[in-house]
Order: sequence, then C-alpha cells, then structure tokens
Amino acid sequence: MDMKFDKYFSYFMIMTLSILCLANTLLAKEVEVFFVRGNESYQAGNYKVAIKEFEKILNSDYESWEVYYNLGNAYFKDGQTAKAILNFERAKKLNLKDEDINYNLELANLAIVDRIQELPQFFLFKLASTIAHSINLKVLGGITLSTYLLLIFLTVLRIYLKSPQLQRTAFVAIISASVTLTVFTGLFVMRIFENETKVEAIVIKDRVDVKSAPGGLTEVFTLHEGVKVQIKDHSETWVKIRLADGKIGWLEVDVLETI
Amino acid sequence: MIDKTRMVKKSSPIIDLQANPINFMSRKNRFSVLTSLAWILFLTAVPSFTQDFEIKAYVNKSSVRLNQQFELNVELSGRDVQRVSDPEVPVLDGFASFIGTSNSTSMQFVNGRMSVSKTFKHHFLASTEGKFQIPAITVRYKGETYSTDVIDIEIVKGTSPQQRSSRIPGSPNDPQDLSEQLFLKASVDKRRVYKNEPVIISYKIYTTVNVTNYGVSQLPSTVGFWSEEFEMPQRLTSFTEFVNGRQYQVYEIKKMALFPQGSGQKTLEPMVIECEVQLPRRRRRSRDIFDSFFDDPFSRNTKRVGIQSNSISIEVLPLPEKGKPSDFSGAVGSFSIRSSVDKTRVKTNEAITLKVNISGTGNIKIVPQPKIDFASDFEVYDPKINESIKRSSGQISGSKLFEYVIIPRFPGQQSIKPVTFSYFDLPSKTYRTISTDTKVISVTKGDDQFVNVGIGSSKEDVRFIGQDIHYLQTRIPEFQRKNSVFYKKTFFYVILIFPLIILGTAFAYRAHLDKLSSNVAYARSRKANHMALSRLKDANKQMKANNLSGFYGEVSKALMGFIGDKLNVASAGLITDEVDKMLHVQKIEENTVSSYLDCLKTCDYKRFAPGDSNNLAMSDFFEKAKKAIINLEKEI
Repeated sequence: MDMKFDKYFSYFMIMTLSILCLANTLLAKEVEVFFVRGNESYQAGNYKVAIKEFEKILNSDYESWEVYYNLGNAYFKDGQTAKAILNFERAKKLNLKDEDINYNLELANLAIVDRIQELPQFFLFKLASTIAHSINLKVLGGITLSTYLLLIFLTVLRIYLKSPQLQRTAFVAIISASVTLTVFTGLFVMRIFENETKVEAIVIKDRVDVKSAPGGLTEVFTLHEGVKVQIKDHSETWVKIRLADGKIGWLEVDVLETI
Repeated sequence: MIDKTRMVKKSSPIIDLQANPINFMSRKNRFSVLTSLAWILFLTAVPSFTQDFEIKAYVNKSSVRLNQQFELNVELSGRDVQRVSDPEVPVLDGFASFIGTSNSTSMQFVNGRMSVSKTFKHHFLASTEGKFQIPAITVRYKGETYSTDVIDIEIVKGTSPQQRSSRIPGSPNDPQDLSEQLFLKASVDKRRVYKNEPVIISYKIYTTVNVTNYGVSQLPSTVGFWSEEFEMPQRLTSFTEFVNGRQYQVYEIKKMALFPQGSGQKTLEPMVIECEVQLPRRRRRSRDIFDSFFDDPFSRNTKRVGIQSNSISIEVLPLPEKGKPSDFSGAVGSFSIRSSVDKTRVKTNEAITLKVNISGTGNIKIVPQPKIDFASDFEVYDPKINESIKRSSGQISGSKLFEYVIIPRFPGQQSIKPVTFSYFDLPSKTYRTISTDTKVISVTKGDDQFVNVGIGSSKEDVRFIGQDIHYLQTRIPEFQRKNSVFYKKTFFYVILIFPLIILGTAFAYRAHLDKLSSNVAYARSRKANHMALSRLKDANKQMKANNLSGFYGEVSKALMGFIGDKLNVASAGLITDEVDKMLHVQKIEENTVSSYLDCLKTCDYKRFAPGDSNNLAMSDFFEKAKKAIINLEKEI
C-alpha cells in the first residue's frame, strides 16, 4: 500500500514539475514576443505602444536590464523624462557598467531642472564605494564565492601535504586567499546591505513641494520631475526623503516611484 | 592731533646728509627707556612716597618774529608724573599754528627723594603780528585740577620770507639770519590739471650751509588727492642751482604724484622739517692769547632750524562732459588693453584662463574690473586681480591684470566678445575707448562631460546639443524572475556550507591520522578488529584443513590478540586469569566476559588435549568465538 502511494506521489510530482517547466518556458516565450514587438514598435516610432509591450514583460513578473533600458528609451522618446530616468536607474541596478545605460541616463538627467550637488564623502568610503560599484553584484558574488572555494581547497591541501616546502607555499597561498576573500566579502556584504536597505526613488510628478513634516504645511523646498531621492522613513502615505546634497523633507508617496 | 604729529615725527626718516650724522632721536629714546626702567624699580622699592605735583609753562622767548617758530614748554613734575595724562595742546588760533610736539623725561634725587619731570615741547609758528596771550594749560591729577599761568607773547614784524623758510635761531639772541641760506621749496610740474591727472610735487632743500641731518616735523596734507610717493634714494644726492645770484646746494627730499579727486581750487599745505646745520663759529672779539688758543678753527656751531615750505595751490578742472563714454570710470592717462587665453582648443568642463591686462600711465588703481560678455555656455568665476604700480622716472605707470577662469559647458565654437575699456586720454584731451579682439575657442566634448554640471542648485533650461540617446538593446535577453537575487537562493547557501562540511571532515580525518601515528594504544585499538578478523580467517583455513590444534591455536591468538590490542598490553604472556581481571577493571558485563573466557579456556583445553576432530564442533566454536569478540568489541 505504502509503496503504491509513493509511486503515485512521485508520478504526480513529476507531472507537476514538467507542467510548471512547460508553463515557464511558454511564459518566457511569450515575454520574448513582447520584447520583440516592443522593439519593432519603437523602431516604427510608436513609442507609446512600445512602452505598453515592455510593461507587459514586467507585469508578467519577468525582468532583465535590457527591458528596463529599452523601456527607458521609449519613455525618453515619448517625452516622459522622469519615467525614462526611473527605468534607466532600474537597468543600472541590474547592470552597473553598461555604457549605453550610463550614457542615456546622463543624457536624461540633463533634462532635470534641479541641480543637486552631492555631499563630499570621506575618501576611504568613497574609494570603497567606487570599487564596490565598479563590479556587477553577480560578478562580485562569483569572485567572492570562488575565492572562498579556493581558500577551502587550499586549506584541505595544506592539511594533507607532507613536504614542509609545499606546506609553506600552501600557507602563503592561504594567507593571500584570505586577504582577497576578506576584501571581496566586505565589498559584497556592503553591496548586499545597500541593495536591501537603500531605497531610492524618482520624482515622477512635474513639480512637488517638499514639506517639513508628513502632512505638514511648511514647504522646505521644491523638486521637479526626474530627481533621484533616497527614502529614509515612511508614515502612512508620506515618506521621508533625503537628497544627495543632504536636504531632508517629506513627500507624499504617490509622487515617487521606487527604483 | 598731538599724537598724530608725534607719530609722524618719530617715524620720519632721519637721513644723514653728511658723513657725520647725529642721531638725536634715538638717543632720546634710549634715555626714556632707561628712565622708565629706573622708575619701575623705584616704584616697587618705595611704594608710599609722596611729593607735590607741579605744572609749569614757559616759552623759549617772549618776543617772536613773524613766521618764526617758538617753543611752548609744559613741564610736569612730581612723583606720579608718568601716570598723569598728557596736557592738551593749547589752541593758539589767530596768531600761531601748531607744528608738533616732542617730550622728554628727567629724574632727580635730592636728599634721597626723587622727583620726576616731564617736559612737552610744543612747536608753534607765529603767524600774526601783535601781542597775544597763551591761555592756561590744565591737567587733572588725583582729582584736583592744576593749571599754569597765562603767558604773554609778542609777535613782531620781521623779515618774512616769501615762499621761503622761517627759522628758529639756535639761541634767542642770535643775530644770524639763516633764511637766505636755508629754505625748503615745494614745486609742481603744473598748476592746472584735470581731475585725476597727476601733479608731480617735489620738495627740495636749498642751502648754502652744511646740513647734517633733518627730520620731518609735519608732512604736507594731501586731503582730496590720491597720492603715490616716489622712492627716494637712501643717500640724497645734491646738485647746485643759482637763485638770485646765489649758489645753493639743492637736495630733493620728497617727490609725490598727486591725483586730484575732485575739481576746484586745491591748496597743498606746507611741509615743515627740522634741520641740523653746522655754522662756522664767529671770531671772538678779544684777542686774548688763551682765547685764541682755545679758538679752534675747525670747531663748528651746530644749530637746529625748523623750516617750512611754501604752500601751493592747484586748479583742478573737471573732465569734459562732451563725448564721455557710458562705461567711463574715471581713468585718466594713456592706457592700452590686451587679452589672452591659455588655450583655444579644449574639451568641455576643462578650465580656460582668460587674462585681460590694462596697462599704461595714470591712476591705474582706479581701473575697474572690465565687464566681459561671456556666452551663457561658459561658467565664469570671479577674476583674480593683480596690480603692479611703478613709481619711477617722474610718472606713475603700471598695469592691472584680471585673470578669469572660465569653463565651457557645451561643445562647439564659442567666442569671447571683445573686452572694452574707456579712459580720458591726456595727450589728446579726449575720451578714448579701446578694446581687445574676439577670442574664438573650439570646444569638443569631454569624457567627463557631466562631472561639473550643476554647481550649486541653479536651475536651468534643458539644452540638447544635437545628441541622441543610444539605441535599443536588440538581442533577446535572458529573462529572470523579478526580484530574484541570487544571494537569497538555496544553491548560494549550499555552495557556502558544503565546503565547510568538506573542510570539517578533512580536519577530522587528519586528526584521526595524527592520532594513529602518534598514539600506539589508539592505533592498536583501532587495528584490533582488523587483526582479530585476519586471525579468525587463518583459523577458518586451519579448520578447512582439519588441523585441530592449528585451528584452536589461531582462535586463541585472535582472542588474546584482540584483548591485547584493545587494552594495549603484550598479548604473548597473557593468561586467562589476567584477562579476567583486566576485563573486570574495564567494567564489562559479566555475561560477555564469561563467554569470552569460556572460549579462551576451550581453546587452551582443545589445543593441548586433542580429541576428535569434529568439523561441526569446530565451526560451532568458530561462530561462538566470533560472537564473543563482537560482543566484547561492542562494550570495550
């Protein structure tokens, strides 16, 4: 009896898995179609249609930096700069070092009315941040993991090596691998931490008045569409924002879209 | 007024004219320092010492000639003189003008008592004829007011030199008149000038006597002028000049360029100096032999003489209104303008330095910062201004350099429009506007195009420079689920943890190997099973060969060896009783021990008392022994 049940259960599992896989590939295929159609519409100059097609991909819970990039382009051509910046920023989050993304983002940023000067940072933090942001998160993770595996391998090797000379060599290798691992782990953890805690958003309304408190009446300053802000806190429908130059204020959440 | 004059006096240069300078100023200073020191010592030594306070005033002569100097001495004496505030200089408006003050301090000990006196010497110049009174001078000391007597003074008509010096004779009854022999003359190069046109004024000492030293008592006031003083050589040189048929040695002591700031009639107040002159001693009337013996022909009579220059009036004309350019700022003279850029081919956001140099003769200090019409694509910083003024060869010339740092924001051909500058040209008496040429700068797009954009938070309009965004990504990408970050996936943690397990195992195995090689007991114990098994195998062989004693011998060896290995003792000499004891020490269960010992006993018995070789019994016993070993192994 038990044996039989097991058999049926495993059949069932295999069936479900294959259906899921099939659905997955079917969906992926559909998403590819959206992508191609979006590109075609863009080429034909139908930017609004292109936007819809690309948005469909995102609505079916799929993403890739290319989709965000193309969507950003379509928004830019359609004259919706804030949305363009938002999508370029999203693309950049997935692929830091792409030239096209950076170029288009910079160009779109030129259209922003507000000029915000970044606060100077302590040079060591700045250096660490620059290094951490010069590598894509996946590559950084890959390097960190490989160094980790290498370190384990070297340690095991060191344990079983008989010749003192080889042991010494292995020891030096272990030390260098450890140092490398420490550095990369630091950068990696920093990036993960940033990814998980730093919430950034783009102002998507033409002009917003930043208030001193949630629901407050006192205007602190005014922002225009396309400005990137950092979200620090929220209270009901209000969020506390911080600009790159250190200014702080409260905005209603619907004027922003998180990256 | 007093302080100012005194300061001027102290700071005025003492320039020796002859090889034998007498520095009377510094001697006085040294004296006063010594006095103060002694005074401080004394004060600390005798704190409660009282003395009357006294104030006296007197003039060095009661009858003065017009345009002569006279001294009003105010003497304060008493213990606490140093603490008394200086008496005010009396105002002698109407008959004398104040020139300056000098003071001196002296100390005296009389019968062990000290008295200090401080004398202020106010120098005046008699200006009106008649009989006058110098009013009383008052000071406050310890809450009381002390005042001097009123002094009568008569000013009589004397030789009043025009544009010449007045003098103070060395002694009151000196009949020698030096006015013809020593005077100070101020001269200007022109008397009618435009506003801001420089007037060169020079002060010269004309003398026929030997002047050894001089000090400035009063500088000419230059109110209403912007003055630039020419540098004078450290050692004055003289030249000769004939005035009214007399030959004079002439020393130029001061030369200034004055730029009148307002129009109208301006008067330059005279400069007053004090000269030390050496006069040859007059012959004594008596021809006494001793007198003539002491009459040294080389000894000279040194006198101090104050002389005053003439005052000068200048007519300042306003600049003509006709043709005045709108950007005229008051520069008068003759100027030229030049501009240069350090590079004409730059990338965006690269700094360029634009230098505008305005140079020429005239009031260069008044030249304002030129207004430059920069294209809005440039970011311009406030200029660095460098001014250099040359005061030589009888005119004031110089240049003003404006250094602008400009940063082009956008690529393309950018031009800096001509810089203009207007001034009133003196030679032609007309206004002139001069300008630089247009600078063309070709700007190419820089790599760091966006680095500098947006300093501050200035708002500006969107500017597209004919640039388009990069084109779409056309290759079909690898889609992934939204928000699927790899560091949240299971495989990531498997990769993280699995190597740790391997590492742990590797360490454990290494530790085991180490124990084997270093610990005999551990190694024997670990090997016991293996040894017992191989011996049992041998026993099995003996059984198959039907070798009875061989079989029991091997089983016995296996049993004994196992115990020996496990407990790390030599198995060769072991006897059953010992085994029994040792196993009891190890707290092995009684049953196991007894069955084990049973097997051992059976072995011993069967070995040495061979009976029937029953194969079945042997295999039974084999199993029994095997079981006993296994049971023991479980417990030991």
